[in-house]
Amino acid sequence: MKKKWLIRLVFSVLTLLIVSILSFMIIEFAPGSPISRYADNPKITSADRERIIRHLGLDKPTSVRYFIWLKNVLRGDFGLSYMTGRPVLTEILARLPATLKLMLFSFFISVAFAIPIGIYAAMRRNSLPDVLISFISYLGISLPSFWLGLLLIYIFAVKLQLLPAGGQLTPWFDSSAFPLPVRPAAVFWEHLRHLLLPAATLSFGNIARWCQYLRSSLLETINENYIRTARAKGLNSRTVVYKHALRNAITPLITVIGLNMPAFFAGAVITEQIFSWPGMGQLFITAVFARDYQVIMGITIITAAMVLLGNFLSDILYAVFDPRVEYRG
Amino acid sequence: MLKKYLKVILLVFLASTILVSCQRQEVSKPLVWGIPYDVETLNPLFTEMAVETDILNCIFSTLIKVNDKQEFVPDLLAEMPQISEDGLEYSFTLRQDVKFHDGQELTAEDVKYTYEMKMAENNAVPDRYIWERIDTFRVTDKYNFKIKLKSKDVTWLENLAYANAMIVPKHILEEEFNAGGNAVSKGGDFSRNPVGSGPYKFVEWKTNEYIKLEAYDDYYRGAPAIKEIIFKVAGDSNSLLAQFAGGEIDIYDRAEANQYGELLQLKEEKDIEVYKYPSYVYLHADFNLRNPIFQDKKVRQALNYAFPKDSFIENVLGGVGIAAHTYIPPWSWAYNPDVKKYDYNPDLASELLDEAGWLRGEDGVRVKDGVRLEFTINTNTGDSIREKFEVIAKQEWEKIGTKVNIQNYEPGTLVGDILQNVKFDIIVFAWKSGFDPNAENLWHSQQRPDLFGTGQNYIGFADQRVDELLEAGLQEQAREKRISIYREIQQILSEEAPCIFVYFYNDLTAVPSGLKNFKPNPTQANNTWNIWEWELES
Amino acid sequence: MRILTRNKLAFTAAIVLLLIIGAAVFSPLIATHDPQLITLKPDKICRPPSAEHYFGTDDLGRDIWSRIVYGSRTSLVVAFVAMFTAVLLGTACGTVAGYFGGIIDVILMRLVDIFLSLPTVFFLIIIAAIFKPGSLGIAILLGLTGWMGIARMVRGQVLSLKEREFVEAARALGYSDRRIIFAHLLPNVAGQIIVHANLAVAGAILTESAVSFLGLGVQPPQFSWGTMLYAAQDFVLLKNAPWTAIFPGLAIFVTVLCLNYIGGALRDAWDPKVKNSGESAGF
Repeated sequence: MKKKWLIRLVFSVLTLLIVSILSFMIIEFAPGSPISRYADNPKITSADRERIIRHLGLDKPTSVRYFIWLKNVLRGDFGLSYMTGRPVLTEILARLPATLKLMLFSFFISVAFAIPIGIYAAMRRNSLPDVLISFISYLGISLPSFWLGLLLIYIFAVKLQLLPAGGQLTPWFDSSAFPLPVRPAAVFWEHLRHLLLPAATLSFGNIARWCQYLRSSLLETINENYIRTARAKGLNSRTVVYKHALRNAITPLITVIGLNMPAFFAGAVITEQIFSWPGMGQLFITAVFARDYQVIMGITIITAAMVLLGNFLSDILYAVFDPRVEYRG
Repeated sequence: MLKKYLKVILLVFLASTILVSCQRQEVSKPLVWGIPYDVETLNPLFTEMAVETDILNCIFSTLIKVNDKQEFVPDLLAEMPQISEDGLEYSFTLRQDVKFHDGQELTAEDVKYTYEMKMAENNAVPDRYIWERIDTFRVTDKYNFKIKLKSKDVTWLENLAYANAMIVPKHILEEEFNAGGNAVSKGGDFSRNPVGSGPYKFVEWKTNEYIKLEAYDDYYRGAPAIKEIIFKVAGDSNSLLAQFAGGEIDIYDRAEANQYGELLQLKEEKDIEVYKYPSYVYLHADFNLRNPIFQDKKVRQALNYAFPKDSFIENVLGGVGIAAHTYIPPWSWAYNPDVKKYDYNPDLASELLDEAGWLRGEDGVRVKDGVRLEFTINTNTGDSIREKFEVIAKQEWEKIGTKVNIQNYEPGTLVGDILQNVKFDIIVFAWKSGFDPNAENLWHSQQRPDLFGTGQNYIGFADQRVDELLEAGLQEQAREKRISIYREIQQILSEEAPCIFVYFYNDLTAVPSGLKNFKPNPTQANNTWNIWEWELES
Repeated sequence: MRILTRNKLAFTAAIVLLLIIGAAVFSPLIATHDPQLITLKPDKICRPPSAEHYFGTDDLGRDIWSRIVYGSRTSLVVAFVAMFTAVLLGTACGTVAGYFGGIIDVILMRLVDIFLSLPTVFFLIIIAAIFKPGSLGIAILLGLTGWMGIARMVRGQVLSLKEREFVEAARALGYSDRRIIFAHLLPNVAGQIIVHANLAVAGAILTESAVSFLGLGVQPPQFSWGTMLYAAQDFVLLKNAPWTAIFPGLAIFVTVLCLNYIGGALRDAWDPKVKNSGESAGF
C-alpha cells in the first residue's frame, strides 16, 4: 500500500514538471509579450524597450529562462511580477484569502443545498417537484453568471439597496464604532453581506449541476439489487436512502467536486469581476492580457498542484465511501 | 433537520438587518472615487496608467500643472520657468514653503534626484522621454536650478505637468536605491508607501480593493477641505455604474458613452451632477499603406465617404462624441476648420472607386488588375463600440462593392502582434493626443516602427511636406506660426486620408452635486489635478 | 403523486427539439428579417417585442427573432459537436483507465491531470491567432478542453462497478473485455454520462461566446445564441432592453431542458434495472 502512495507521489511530481515545461512553452509561444503594452505609448522608444527587455531578463533564450525559473521555484521563489514588480507569491497571497473566502462559502452553500435537493428529486422521481427542480436547475445552467450577477446587483444593490454591489469589505468600515457586545456580530455581518450576492451567483450553477448528478446516481443505486433487498426486508425507505444508497451514490459527486478544487485557488473570473471581488481570477486575467509570464506561471503551477491534490483527495474519498474500491493508482 | 437549518438562517438575517440599521447612523463616509482596476504602482518614477495619475495627483506635486483651461500654471514653482532666447535653457525657481509628508523640505536637490532616478541604469523606468532630452541639469542653489536641452523642443515643457514628472523625495528613495544595489524597483517599498508633497497623504493600499488617503494639513496651499479620500476598485464599467447607483461610490469618472442616459436618469433621483466634456481621445480606423489596395488614395477616400460617421455618433454613441476630421479636436487652438470633411456619401464613394478603375466583378466585388477589393478589419475583443463600428462599416462598405472580413483579437495579441508587426489591413483603436498639436510619432516618416524600430506610425504614412512641417512645429515658439503649420498638416492628412478619423470621445464624470470646484481636465493631468480646492457641501 | 409520465415529457421535449433543429435547417423560411441588417434609426434601435419584430430589436436595430433562428445553426453545431467530442473522449479514456487499471490507469489519469492544469486560455489565444478556426473547429476545441471531467467520473464509476458481482460473474464466464465493457459496464454508467452530456451542451453554448473574447469562434458579424447573450452583458442594456438577453437565454434554456428530458427517457430505456423497477420506484 505504502509503495502505491509513493509511486503516486513520484508521478505527481513528474506531472507537475511536464505541466511546467508545456505551460512555459505555450505562454512563450503566444503572440504578444510583456512589452507589447508599450506599442501604443508614444513616449516609449525602441531603446526604452530594449532596456526593459534586458531588465526583465527576457533577452535570454526560452530554455535558459525556463531553467532559471525552475531553479528559483525549487527555492520557493516564483519571481517578480512584470506588472507590479512585486514577488509573484506576494501578489498571490494578497488575493488568495478573498478567493478562498468566497469559494469556501459558496462551496458550503452549494453542498448544503445540492445534496438535500438531489435526494429529494431522486426520491420523488418524475413528480411535479422533480420536474420543477430539473426545470430550475437547467435554468441555472443556461443562465450565464454575468447575467445572474448583474440581475442580483440590480435588484438587491441598486433598487432595494439592501446589499453592497461589490467589494469584500466597506473601506471605511470601522468595527470599533460598535459597542463591544455586538462587535463580533457587526464584523460577521459586514463580511456576510458582501459575500451573499457573489456567493449566490456562484452557487446557483453549482447547486443546479450537483443536484442533477446526485439525482442521477441516486436513481441508479436505488435500483441496485442490494438496496431493493434492503427495502424488501422492510427497512424504511428513508433509512435505505440515507444509509445505503447515498453512500454509494456520492462517488460521482465527489469526482465532480474534486474537479472543482482548483477553482478554490484560481477563483471565478466573471463573478469576481462583476462583484469587484479582489481575488485570484482577476489577477490571472489581468496577467494574461499583460502577458505577465511570471504571474501566469506561478498561478498555473499552483493550480496544477491543486488539481493533483483534488484528484488525490477524491480518490481517497472513493475508497472511504465505496469500500468495494480498492485504492489503485 | 431542515427546520433547524432554516431557523439559523432566519436568525442570522434578522440579526443582520438590525445591525445594518444601526450601522447606517454611525459611519461618517469619506469621499469615494471609483476606479475600474487596481493600479500597479504609486511610485511616479514608474507610472504608466491613467488611473495612477488620478491618485498620484493627490499625493505628489509637479513643477507645473495644466489647468482646466489648458494653460500652464506653476505648481512647485514660484513662477513659470524662464526660457532662454535660443529656447534651450530653462531656469526654474521653486517655492520655499513646500514640505514632504514627513516634514522634510522639498528642494532643487529632490528635483535633480528625480531626474537622476529616471535616467539610472539599473531600473525599468518605462519612459525617459522628457529626461533624455536634457543635456545638463544644474542646481544653482537650494531653490534654483537650470535645465539645458540637447535640442530645441517647444513641446518639452508640457511633459513636466504630468504624473511621470512628479517630484520624489531624495532622502527616502536614496535609502531604497542604495539598499537595492543602486536600483529602485517598481515593486519596491516606496511604490506601496509613497511619500510626496501633494495635498493628500498616503494611508493604506489594500490590493485590488481600495487606496485610502487623508488630507495633508501642512500642504503649502493650505489644508484640503475634504479630509479623507478613498479610491475604490470596482471590476468594470458595469459594477462602477451599479456601485455609483447604489451609493457605494461618490464619483464615477470615465463613464461609458452608453451610460450617459442612465446617469441623467439617476440625476433625477439623486443629488448628483453629470459632467460631459470633450476629450483628446479619438477613435480611428487605420489603413495599412503597405497594402497595395490602400496605396490608392481614392480607395481610402471612398471608404471615408462610405462610413456614416454622424449616424454612428448619434445612434450608437447616443450623441456622446464629436465627429473627428483630423487628429486635432475641434476645440484645440490648432484645429483647422477648413479640412476636408467626409460626410456620408456612398454615391460619391462609388464614383471614386469607378474613377480609380475598381470595377464590379460578377459577385459584386470590385476588381482592379486582378486584385479583389477585399480586406479585413481588426480590433480588440471586448469593446462593443469598436465591434459596432466594424459591423456597420462592413454593411456600408459592402454596399459600394467591397468584401469586408472581420477578425478580432484579444488585446494582448492585437497590440503585441497585429499592431506591432503591422499585420493588419484596417485596424480600429484609439489614440489620446496631448493638448499640444505635435504628433511626430504618428505621422513622421522616420517614425514608421517596421522600418526604423521606433514611433507609432503604424499606418506607414510618409509625406515629405508633413515631415518638414512636423519638424518645424517643434522649433517654432510663436503660437500664430504654429497654427499655420499644424493647419497645413491637417489639410494634407484630410486630403490623403491615411485613416478614418471617427470621433473624439466625450468624457463623462458623475459627482455629488455638493462637490465644489470640481473642474474636469481632459488633458493627461486628469480630473484630480486641483483636488486641493475641492469642497463637499452636504 | 406522479402527474407527468416521463414518456409524455420526453415526447414533448423531442418535438420541441425537432422544431429547434428544424428552425436551424430552414432558417431562411422562418426568419422574418435579414438577421444581419443594421438599421441606424432611433425608431428601430432597442425596440420591445412587437408584431413587426416578434422578439424586439437589438442595439443596432437588428431583428432578434431572426437572429435567434439563424443563430441556432452555429449554436447547435457547436453544442453537439463539442458535447460528442468530450463525451466520446472522456468515456473512452475513463473506461479504459478504470477497467484495465495499473500502469494504463496511472498514465491516462496523469494525462488528464496535465490537461486540467495547462493554461487553457493561452492555448486558445495561440490557436486563435494562428489558425483562426471556424465554428466547427471551436466546437472540437471545446470538446478537447472539456473531456477530463467525464473521464475521471467514468473511471470512478467503472472502478466501483468492476468489483461488483455481475462483472465478476461475467469475467468468470470468460466473456471478453469488450463485451464486459459494452454490455455490463457502460449501461450502468450511462445515467451519469447523459447528465454530463446535457450539462456539456449548455456549457458549450455559453463557453463558445466566452472564448470569442479571446478572438476565437464566431466573429462579428457572424453570431450565435452565446454571442447574442454576451453582447447583452451590459448593465444599461439589461435594464432598458432586457429582451436582447432574455430571448437568446431562453433559446439555450429550452434546448438544454429538452435534452435533459430526452436524456432521462433514453437512460431509462438503456438501463434495464431502472426499467424493471421504474414503476415502483416512487418512494
